[in-house]
Amino acid sequence: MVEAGASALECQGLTKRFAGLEAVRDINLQISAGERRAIIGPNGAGKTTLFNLISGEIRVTRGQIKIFGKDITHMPSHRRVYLGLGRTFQITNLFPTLTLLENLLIAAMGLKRMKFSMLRPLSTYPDIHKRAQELLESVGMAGKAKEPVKNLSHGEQRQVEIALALITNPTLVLLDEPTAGLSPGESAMMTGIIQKFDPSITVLIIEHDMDVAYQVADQITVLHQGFIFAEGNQSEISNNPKVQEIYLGEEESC
Amino acid sequence: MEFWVVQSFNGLSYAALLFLLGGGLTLIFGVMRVINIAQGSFFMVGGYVGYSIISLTGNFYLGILIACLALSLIGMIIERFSLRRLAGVNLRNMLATMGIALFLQDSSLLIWGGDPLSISVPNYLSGSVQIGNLYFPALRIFMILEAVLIFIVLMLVERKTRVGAIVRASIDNPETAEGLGIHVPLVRMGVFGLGALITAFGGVTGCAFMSIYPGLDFEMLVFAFVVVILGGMGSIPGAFIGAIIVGLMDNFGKALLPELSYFTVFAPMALMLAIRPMGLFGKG
Amino acid sequence: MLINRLKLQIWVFLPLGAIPLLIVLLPQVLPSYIVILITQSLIYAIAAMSLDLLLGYLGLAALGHMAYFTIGAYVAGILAVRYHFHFGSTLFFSIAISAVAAAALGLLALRARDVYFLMITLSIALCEWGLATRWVSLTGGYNGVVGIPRPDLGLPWMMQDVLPFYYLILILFLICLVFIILLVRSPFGKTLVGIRDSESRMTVLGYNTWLHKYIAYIITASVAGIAGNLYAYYNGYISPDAATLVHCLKLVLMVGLGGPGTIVGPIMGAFIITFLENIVSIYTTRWLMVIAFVYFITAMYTPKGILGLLKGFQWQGKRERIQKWWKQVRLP
Repeated sequence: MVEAGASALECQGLTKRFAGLEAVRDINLQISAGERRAIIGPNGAGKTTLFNLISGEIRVTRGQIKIFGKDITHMPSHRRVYLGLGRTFQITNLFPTLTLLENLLIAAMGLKRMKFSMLRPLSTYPDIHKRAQELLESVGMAGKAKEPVKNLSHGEQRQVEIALALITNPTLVLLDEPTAGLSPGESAMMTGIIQKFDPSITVLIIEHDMDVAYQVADQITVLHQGFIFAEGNQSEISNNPKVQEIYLGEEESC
Repeated sequence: MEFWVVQSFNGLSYAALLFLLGGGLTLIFGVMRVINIAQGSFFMVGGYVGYSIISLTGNFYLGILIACLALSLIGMIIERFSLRRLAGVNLRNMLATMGIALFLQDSSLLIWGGDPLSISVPNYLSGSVQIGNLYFPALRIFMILEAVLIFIVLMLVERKTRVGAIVRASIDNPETAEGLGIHVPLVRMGVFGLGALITAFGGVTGCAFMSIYPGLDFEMLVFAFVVVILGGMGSIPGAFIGAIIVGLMDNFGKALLPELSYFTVFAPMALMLAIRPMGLFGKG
Repeated sequence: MLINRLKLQIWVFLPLGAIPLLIVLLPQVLPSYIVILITQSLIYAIAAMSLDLLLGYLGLAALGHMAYFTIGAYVAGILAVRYHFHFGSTLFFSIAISAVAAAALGLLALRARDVYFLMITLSIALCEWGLATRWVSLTGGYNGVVGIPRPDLGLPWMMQDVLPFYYLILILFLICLVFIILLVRSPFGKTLVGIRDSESRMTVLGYNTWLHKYIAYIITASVAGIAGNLYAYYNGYISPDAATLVHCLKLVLMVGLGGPGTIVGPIMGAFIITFLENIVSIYTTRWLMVIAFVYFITAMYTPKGILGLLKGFQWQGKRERIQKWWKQVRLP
């Protein structure tokens, strides 16, 4: 349990350069434990790059990242998960050839030592199965356990994305456009799911859909061209004319 | 001193053949992501076809021409009817091209028999050019010239012409290229045919320089792989440099350390893989 | 769909159940020639299963996997002929040295991805071929190591005879088979499939994917080393031919033909190719053409091997089956 007010995520001077282009520039971010923060901004603002830096997919050019006080700037991606990090992907990233149950089982094993076990069948590990079953029921898809995940509808797959991220009991979750490609009804359901996360979980969410962002998050950070453009709560941001401008600018250039 | 000059020259002339082999392989890989196991077969069959034409007509250049045309046709047929469907799926490509290689090998056995065959070149190529008190066989000079010529032509076409741009567009972004009216399947077919053609050219010369025999296909394929690994897969300049390295190392290896001769060729490859797996000019 | 499930059960389980019985009893009545071929098939089946773990389950195109087969074979040959080691010891060393080689070479190979990984594994095999042909004092050069005697197990049955040797190979094959089946159904085995399907997802779930690949690489190399060891005893000699591109591709064909990712598929593939190569040559001198055809057809029309073909055939009517297969295979 992390005390409220303690810092869940800290980024200092975070910069990422790709072949001469700075995708993310000098980002200073501070997110408290239990907070819900939305990262918004026009396309190309660097939102997913920021997530990739935090989760370790890509390496930092300059700057520092800390999770729950631990410096993870140079820590390999998979080790960060042990510190309580979880994430979903903007483009659904499941195990396509496997069944829903198998997806969850593999996710449940991620932090366990038994994942190296080679001679006992997986079916003899009841705790893993129990955990998978819990998540299965929480997304209401217990009947589809044996279904190959690629046969599920897009909305169901997005739910599985979230289930996989939650199965390791993370304390800091990065949600990358969880409602991408969902119908309004599905979006609303997804928003509801996110709102029901355990309050101790810190949530960082990238969203294009403003309604979802406002409903889920307490604080909003606006990114533009790789740096933090504005920060504040919902009313501050929605009433900020400059924020409207950068979005309008995006529309014009389309 | 003379020893080094002569050996370097010999190494370079062998490198010329290797460039034609490796260049074809790398061209095909670069454009189509196909590892063409039949590349060595193109060399061998090119040599055989050249042999037949030259034996029939006595005309060296006609032999080259027909061999190049025949193999590029074969190449295009292969691409159109099989590889087209296996785009980018590497092991399946290799199985398919392996099947083609074996087919070509057995067909060659049927048509040309098992004895090594060799052709005689026009008189002006069978002598030597004298520089100082060193003699340089004309055929070897011819080989070097032909490789340099092909290299220059390929580089020019790739960099300076519309055709090169079209090919590059088809690789980098096939969908956009299609949208621009470029018939990508035709480009792929053409490139495969070109890769076959270059190697066939080398094969005919090879028939004069060494002899053509069953089993040459896989022997040369190994060299082609080493050239391409050294130079970087998909890079023509890389194949050029890689061929020079292999040609020289093979020649000097045979001259200086005959017991280790194959190893002098594989050692640079092993080193390259350890230090820079994508080769000298490869993107990785 | 109960009828379909029943059909599947009969189709698959009856032959699967009968096969062990056949494998144990039939050789008593079959001609020696066939038993010898079955023996050879079993040896290749061990190698094919090991490659399947990398290729089918992990999704790593380890083209040069025969390199470890060759190491196992040379270790057996050299130790048996030159130092008169017994079978148990040569087997131990075949496994050990293959594993050590894989541990070293895996560090190199696993730095690369996709095509480059494929080329590196192939290059390793080629380098091995080069080394084997030139290091004559150790490996006997082109001729290799000859005169490898059959194992002397101190039993009343001589391994020089066809049947006893067959049963020895069969027992070792079954041990390997059981091991691999356990591995595939174990948590570790599942992680391999996870990595194949989405390595990035595995990483954010806490898996050190490189480590899993490395461990799998070493294990599969060791099993290939076992196959190589048996091959040396089976043939009585081992030459650099075992590490050629052609030989490497043959193993890939076995896996591809049978069906990658199934274990049973590669075993079938090993049997089919071994029998095809040996029996076709009796009927025609153009047997190479037939093999070429098999390579080609496997690549073009059976993306998931024969087993994949059979599985796909279960659930629909004839016309639909064929349409579905054609669609799958006819990439635009």
